[in-house]
Amino acid sequence: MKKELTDNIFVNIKYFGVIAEKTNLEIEKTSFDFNQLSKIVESIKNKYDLHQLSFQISLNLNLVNSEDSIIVNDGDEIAFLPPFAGG
Amino acid sequence: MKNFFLNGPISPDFISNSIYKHQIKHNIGAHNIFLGQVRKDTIKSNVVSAIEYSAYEEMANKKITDIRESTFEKFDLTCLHIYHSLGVVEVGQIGFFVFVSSSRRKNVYDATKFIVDMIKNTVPIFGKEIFENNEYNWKVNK
Repeated sequence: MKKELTDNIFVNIKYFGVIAEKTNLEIEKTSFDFNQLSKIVESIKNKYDLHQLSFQISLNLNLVNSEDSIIVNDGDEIAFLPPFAGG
Repeated sequence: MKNFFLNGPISPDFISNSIYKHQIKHNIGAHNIFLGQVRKDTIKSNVVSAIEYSAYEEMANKKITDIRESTFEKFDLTCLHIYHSLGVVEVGQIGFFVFVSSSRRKNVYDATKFIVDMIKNTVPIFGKEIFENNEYNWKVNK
């Protein structure tokens, strides 16, 4: 019997503003077979060609530096946030 | 989690009603109010007719809750109310309302500036400037 892959993680990814316009969706649940935030962000950037856009990343509602070595867990929520314009 | 967002513009009636509601709080001696109004900007010959606001609401409400708490820690305030619009706010309409109250006036000015700056710089709210010709531009706070 084939052993099921247990180390895939499912992550909720949210897109806002100009980023959502580029991805053409606001939320998706995506599985990854790696769990480094920097790799996940890079793969999303490549998937939707976000290289020209400026954005910040939040993980579970907190802004993070996606260059840092941060581990993402199954069920976590990542958001791509374009520049803020409130007020 | 408290919700700081209202759909559509914030009406002058809503603002005056907020003032009215504070008349029963007799320890207050000073209010300070900040109102953000949509400006008729011209961007590369396009004239702004409205801003359509959106937000990462869950994170924004959490952030504003944190800002509210740290404002109470920093300044001696009696009351503090914050409201921001979502959706379309037309030129001349109000999309942001901060209402700061204290026993004396000294604190309310600094507290208002602190809150407005923090909200502009750290809360995930996004604005689409809609032009009179129906084209648009994504706004960035300077």
